[in-house]
Amino acid sequence: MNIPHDHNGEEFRREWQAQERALEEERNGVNPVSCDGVVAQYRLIARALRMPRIAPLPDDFAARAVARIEAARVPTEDLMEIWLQRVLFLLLVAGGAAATLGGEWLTDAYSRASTLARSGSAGGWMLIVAACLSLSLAMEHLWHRRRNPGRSPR
Amino acid sequence: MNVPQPPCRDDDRQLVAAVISRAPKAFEQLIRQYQGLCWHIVSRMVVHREDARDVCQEAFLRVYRHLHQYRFESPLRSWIAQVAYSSALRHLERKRIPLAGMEQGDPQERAAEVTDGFDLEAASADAELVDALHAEIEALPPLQRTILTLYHLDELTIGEISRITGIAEGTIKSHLFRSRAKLRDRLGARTRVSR
Repeated sequence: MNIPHDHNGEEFRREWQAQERALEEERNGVNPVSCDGVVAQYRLIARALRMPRIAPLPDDFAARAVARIEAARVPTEDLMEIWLQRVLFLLLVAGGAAATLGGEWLTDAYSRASTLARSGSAGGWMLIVAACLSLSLAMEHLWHRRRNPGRSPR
Repeated sequence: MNVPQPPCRDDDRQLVAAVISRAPKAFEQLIRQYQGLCWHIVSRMVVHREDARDVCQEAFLRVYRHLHQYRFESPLRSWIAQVAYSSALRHLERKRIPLAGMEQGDPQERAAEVTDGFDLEAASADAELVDALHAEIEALPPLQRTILTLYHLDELTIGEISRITGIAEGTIKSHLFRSRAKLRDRLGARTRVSR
C-alpha cells in the first residue's frame, strides 16, 4: 500500500474512513461482521491501541507524589523569616546611608515622632506604638530563629 | 479549524478550589483522578520506566505549583495533560531524544494488498501476530505513539490533542493517518509472510 500524501485525494479519504470506522466499531464493540478486509485490519490495530502494554503506576503513586510535594514546599514561617530579614536589612541600609550621608533624615523622622507624641492624638500614639511593637517582634523572632534554627518562637 | 472547548466541569472547579485552599487530601484526589491520563502521555513519550515515573511526579509537582494560574477556560484534564506533555517533552530535550523521529520515505511499489478474507478474531487470537503489532507500536517515534494513545485509548478529540501538544490539528490528523497506515502496512506484510 502506498500511503497517500494528498490529504484531499480520494485514496486518503477512503483510507481515513476505514481507519475511523474501525475505531468506532472497536469502541462500540460491534461484532466483526464487516467483510471489508481493510477495516478488519484497522480494527486489529485499534484493539491493540486500546489495550497498550503499559506497566501500571504503583498503587501508592499519588501518596508518594504528595509526599514529594510536601518535601519541596517551603514552610510559610520560613518565607516570613526571609521577608522580615529583607525588610530589616533594607532598614539597616537606609539607616546607615542616612547616618553616613546626612543625619537630616533621622533628625526629621525623630522630630515628626516627637510632634505626634506631643500633639496627644490617639492616632499618633497608636502609630508609634505599632511601629515599636512591629520592630520589637521582628527582632525577637529573628533572635529566636538564630538561637533555635528550625523552630518557631511559639 | 477550532472546535469550541467544552466548559470546565463543576466538580473540577470544586477540586481546584479545594487544592488551592489546601484542603486535606484534595491534591491526592486530583492526582488519583488524572494520574491515568498523565501516565499514558508520559509513558508513551519516555520509554525508561523509572524516568517516566519521575517525569510523571514532576508533572504533578508543576500542576500543584501552577494550579492558581488555571483559568477554567479548558477542561482540567486538558490542562493537566498539557503540563504532562510539556514535562515529558523537556525530558526528551534534555536527553536529546527526537520527538517525532525522521519521516521515512514510503516505498513506491509494494506487493499487492491482501486484505480479502482477513479474519479479525483469528488474527486477534494469534499471540505472535499481536505481539508483533505491539512491538511495531512501541517502535513508533514518541510523538506518534502519544497521539495514537490519546486518540484511541483516552478517546480525546483531534482538537484536544492539538491543544495539549500545541501541534496544528491538520498535523495531528496527518500523524494519525500515517501511523495507522504504517501499522497496517506492517501487519499486511506479516500476514502475507505467514500465508
